[in-house]
Amino acid sequence: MKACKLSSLAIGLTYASFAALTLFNWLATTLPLGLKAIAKLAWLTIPGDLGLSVSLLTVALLFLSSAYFDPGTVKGAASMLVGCIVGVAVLAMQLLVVAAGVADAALTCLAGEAAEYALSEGLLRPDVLLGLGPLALTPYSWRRAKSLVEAPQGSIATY
Amino acid sequence: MVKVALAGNPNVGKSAIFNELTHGRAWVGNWPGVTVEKKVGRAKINGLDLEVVDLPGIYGLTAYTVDELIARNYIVEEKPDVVVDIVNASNLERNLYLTLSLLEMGINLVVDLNMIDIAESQGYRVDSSKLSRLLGVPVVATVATKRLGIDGLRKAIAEALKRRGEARRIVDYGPKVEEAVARLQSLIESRPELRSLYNPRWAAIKLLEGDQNVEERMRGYASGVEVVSLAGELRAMLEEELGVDLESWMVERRYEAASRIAQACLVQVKPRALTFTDLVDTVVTHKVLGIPLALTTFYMIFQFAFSVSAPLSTLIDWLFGGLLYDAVKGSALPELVKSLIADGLITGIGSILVFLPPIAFLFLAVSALEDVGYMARAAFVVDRVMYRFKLSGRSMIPLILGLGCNVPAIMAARPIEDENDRKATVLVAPCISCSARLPVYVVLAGAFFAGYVGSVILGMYVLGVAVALLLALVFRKTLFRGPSTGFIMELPPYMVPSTSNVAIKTWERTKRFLYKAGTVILLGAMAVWLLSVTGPSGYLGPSALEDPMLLESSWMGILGHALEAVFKPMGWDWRAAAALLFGFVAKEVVVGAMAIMYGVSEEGLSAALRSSFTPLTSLAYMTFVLLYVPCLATVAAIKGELGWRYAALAIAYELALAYVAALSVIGLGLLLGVS
Repeated sequence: MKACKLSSLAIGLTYASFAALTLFNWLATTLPLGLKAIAKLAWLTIPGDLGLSVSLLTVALLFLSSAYFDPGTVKGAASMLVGCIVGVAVLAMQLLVVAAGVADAALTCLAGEAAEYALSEGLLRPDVLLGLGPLALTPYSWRRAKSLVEAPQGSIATY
Repeated sequence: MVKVALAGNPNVGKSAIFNELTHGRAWVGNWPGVTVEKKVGRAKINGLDLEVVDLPGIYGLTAYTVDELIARNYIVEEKPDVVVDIVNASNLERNLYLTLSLLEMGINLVVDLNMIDIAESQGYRVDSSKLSRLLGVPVVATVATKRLGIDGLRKAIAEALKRRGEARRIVDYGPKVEEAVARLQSLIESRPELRSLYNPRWAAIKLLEGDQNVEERMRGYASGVEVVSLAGELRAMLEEELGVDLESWMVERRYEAASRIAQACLVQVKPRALTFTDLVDTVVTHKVLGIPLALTTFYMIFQFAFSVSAPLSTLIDWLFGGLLYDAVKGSALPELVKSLIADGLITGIGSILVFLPPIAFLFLAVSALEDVGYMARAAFVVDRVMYRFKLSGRSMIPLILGLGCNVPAIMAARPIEDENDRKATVLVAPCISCSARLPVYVVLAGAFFAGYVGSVILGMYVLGVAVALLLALVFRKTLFRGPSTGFIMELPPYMVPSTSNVAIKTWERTKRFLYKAGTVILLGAMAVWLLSVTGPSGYLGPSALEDPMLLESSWMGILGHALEAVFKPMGWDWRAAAALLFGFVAKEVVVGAMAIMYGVSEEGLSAALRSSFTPLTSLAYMTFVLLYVPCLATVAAIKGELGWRYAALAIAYELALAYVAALSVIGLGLLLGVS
């Protein structure tokens, strides 16, 4: 359980850091505050997107809440499960956006126009890479939640 | 045709049962006189063709809310052969109130005990045989989401069709009230014209409750006046004797009966265990975590709707702006006809149809989240915010509906009991960004904020909600003063969405957009084309659409130039100003009008707009489109709900607000050094 708590804390803090970075980039690219956006961190693209920043912050809050309440408790297990669901959903959404971008570029080329799509920029993003953490934790958090609840088991035959 | 009606509280799985019975063979219309959705489908049971009607989700059969009035008017006037009352087994007591109300009407009832799996996970099961015995009607168990028990329900309906309904006296209102009911009942029974109107016992009960709708209908007959007058006397006498409001007293007796029956039929099989819904709700409805979670959900909905649907929009644009347009332009048709079809119809309709994918994807995501049970939670979480703006939590549902279309949003405000809350909700509902405004955001955000389209569009939606809430506060503190009422809402258990349910809901909602594209938007596109190729000097020819100088001498050019001065501080050119005029007919037409006036397709429109707008002026334009005059249908809905005075107020305040807001965006941007 301690390892689980530490994993939640680590994931939460990493998400919070990237939420702050994307928020910084959004402020830097939107308002003339004289800030210089951090477009790349090593090979990772950091978008300046307020919506993404809120999403990353939400996942961060959920994992930090899980670490705070302890994943062994109802609140802790629920926070971890919802954190995993949201983290994986954000990852899946970006993969869908990338797939749509590729398809869009292909269709535009088919229509006889020039089009390009930077696949690496779409994939090497914090929402994609950080999403692997919640993805790995999902089976555990699901089992943990299931052990705490009773599944609906109605049978028509008994009526 | 044999008629079967489905009744039940909201969120009991009525739609899922409807879809199972009809296999999706359904169509959607409106109930007469109102824009409340009416779903009708066809089913076949034992070789019999049935018309299945999905009644609105209701808690009782009073005349206070439009939904309850619709349901009971349908039962009274259409006299369905069987009514299936869908009861949530995990919330038996509350659901039985409606069952008892339906039984009092003397209808042929079948009780469908749905969600028995949820009930069992909560530690109890319902003794369906005992329930059937106590109610005197067949009771069948189902789990609609897992398609369990549907055959049993079909059999029960088939059996019920062989018998007739009869009024059952399950609720005992006490000797004095029962005596009054009997007196009125026998008087009604002795008058054939009144007897055929309603079930006599039910009518007697409703008259004693002071139901104005029943009184009005009774007064339509000479003998009815006598009955209504006697009911008034009896009510006054009973209220004096009992020392209470008679209607509340009778409602309480019904609740007592529902509670007694529920207690008798519930069998505790194990202590109530923690359910999955309980567990997840500790986070999802949490006062701190719930808000960012709701924002993230909405952000993902917008990403899904606008970024993931993009290839389909490209495909439609290619078909309309490329293949079809070129085919017509290259045909041997006369020049005038070619221009009307290619520049008017294909460009106008095509530039709107490219928004079909984002709109369909948006509805798909919302329908799936509704089925999962999340949308009710989002409303619950946001309710805390609503209260701070002196708006009832009941206003949340109309405002959420406004995201689709403002007209049903305004109609959905009817059940709000507090008149001040209702009026404020109706007046601010048009500020909520409906799907018709989406095309403008998509084009402008795509042209100037590539990579952040989802965030910019979400920003416009948030701005709409913020303005609506602030205005509500202003209205509630000035025009409609008074305290705010509370909000009670049932949160359905989380469920895996049914694919067919989600697909049907998405199609029904998207169909309306398609219908509009084929009617209002088509006419709008033709009008824009006509005003662009004609002018004071007569017919200018299709070349006006390609020659900016010639276009400026068209009616559209003259109109646009007249408006240009008004919008000069915002930096919009005459074509952008003229396009706004068409938004009054339907907001979707704005983009179509722009495409025609700039002489380009939707893809080309983004490039054309880049030469006429800057990121700042485009943001101001989006703000103006978000807030300026509601479309004609919305104005008509406001007039219908509050009268001409308030409809005129809505037009005036929205125009002024939009202008000030757009100007503020420009001013603020310039102050911050943004261009």
